[in-house]
Amino acid sequence: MSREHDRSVVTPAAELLARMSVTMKTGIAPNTTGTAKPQAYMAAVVLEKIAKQLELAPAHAAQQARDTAALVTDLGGLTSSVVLPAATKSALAALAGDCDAVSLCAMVQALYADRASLGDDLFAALLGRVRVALRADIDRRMEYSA
Amino acid sequence: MTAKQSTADDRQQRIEAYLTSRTPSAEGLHMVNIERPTVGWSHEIWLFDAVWNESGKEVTRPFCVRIDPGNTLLRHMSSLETQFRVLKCLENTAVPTPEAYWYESDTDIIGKPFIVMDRVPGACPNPWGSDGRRYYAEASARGVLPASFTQALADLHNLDWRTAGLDFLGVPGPGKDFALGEVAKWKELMSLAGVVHEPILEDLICWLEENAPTTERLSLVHGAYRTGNLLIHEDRVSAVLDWETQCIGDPMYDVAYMLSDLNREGTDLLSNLVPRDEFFRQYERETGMEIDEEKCRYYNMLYCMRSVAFWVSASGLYADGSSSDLRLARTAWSIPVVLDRAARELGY
Repeated sequence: MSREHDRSVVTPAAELLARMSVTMKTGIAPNTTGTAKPQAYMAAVVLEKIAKQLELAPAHAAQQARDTAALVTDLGGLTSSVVLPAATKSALAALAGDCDAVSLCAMVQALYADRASLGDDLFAALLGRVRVALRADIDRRMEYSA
Repeated sequence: MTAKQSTADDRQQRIEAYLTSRTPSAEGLHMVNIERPTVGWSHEIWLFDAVWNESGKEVTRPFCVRIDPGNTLLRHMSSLETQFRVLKCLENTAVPTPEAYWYESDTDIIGKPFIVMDRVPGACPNPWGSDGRRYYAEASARGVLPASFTQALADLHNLDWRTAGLDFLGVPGPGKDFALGEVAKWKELMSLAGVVHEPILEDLICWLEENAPTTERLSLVHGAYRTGNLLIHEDRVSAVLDWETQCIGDPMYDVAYMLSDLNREGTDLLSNLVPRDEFFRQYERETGMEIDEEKCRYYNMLYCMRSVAFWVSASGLYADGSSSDLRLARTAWSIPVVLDRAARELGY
């Protein structure tokens, strides 16, 4: 059997959406009129963004997992010899359990709330390390958003 | 005939009936030269001339009708009634605004709340399109419109808002009350859209709350003063539009919006129109205020937060089925763009 027959009959969702975006942009939108026209072009943009997001999702998820593991390790290292204020300690524990957007928000909130107790240097070190992770995350999201 | 056309025809008939009821001496009132601009995020807008016979003479009068569809971007923050009251307060002041005639909250009249106002002569070139950018670049070179644009902002900030009756908008207390109130306002808008878990946004909000500036002088603040929100006629601002984010607050809030590179594209001209040095010189001369760039930096950070709030609210309207406007769906991807910017402003 030739190589071209190896192709799955089910087109991957990201590829399908990308093709639909092109169809919408080049085949449908130019032939619409009135208020439907800008909506058709906008549909092409939305489909393109979803397609790109889906395409990148597996690689992004894998990198995110590596980054969050490193974040938890580094934050643990920065605080290992410190008695942490309650909110930061609790947020750090939650982050170690499940490092997602919810626990990261809680971590940021706790750092600001405990700033006086943490002192400027430790506050800056901890927030700075969290920000490294946030920068990496937003860089990934910008790959399909910009 | 499509359902949409049928709705539009019905609405036109209802507007004609309403205007007839408001002008009892008019005979045969009907609408001509109807335009339905699709710009903006909030209201359905009808621009037209009403023509009728009165005492044997034909009368033509331009109107603008703004209709609140009930699912607008700032529906929780701004109402047509508030806009109407603001426009009434601004009549006979130096701030160029359309004369507002009537506000109706009764949905039996045309189906939704609406305002009827004067249709001020002028155009509103879109500053984000190539034609609009060219228009503003050419106007900038002529020099008349930039001065008019800056003057209208100075007039806004010089307005005696208490005498004009605008204190109904709410007057911030002294110190940090204005800045913290704005942070709280936009947090509320996001909370109305649902729970938002964005760590960079959290960082930004905490920073804004920690670094809120004090306000020394209160002014009427437009909240979105830029090209695209103004009508221009014969190279001058003929009307300041889009009274949806106005408040009594720090005039630097508007100045920061002017200075923001969010509001220009491919040019150093503020709002695609005004040379920065000329703006500083004229604004400071006309208001007697020195532009506080540090404060403006703070308010630009606040605009990042506000933009996130807008886009969270907007994308939520599409996501929950309240709107079928795909421009709103598109804004879901504007959130990371603004967060990227906010992170850079915070230093990472």
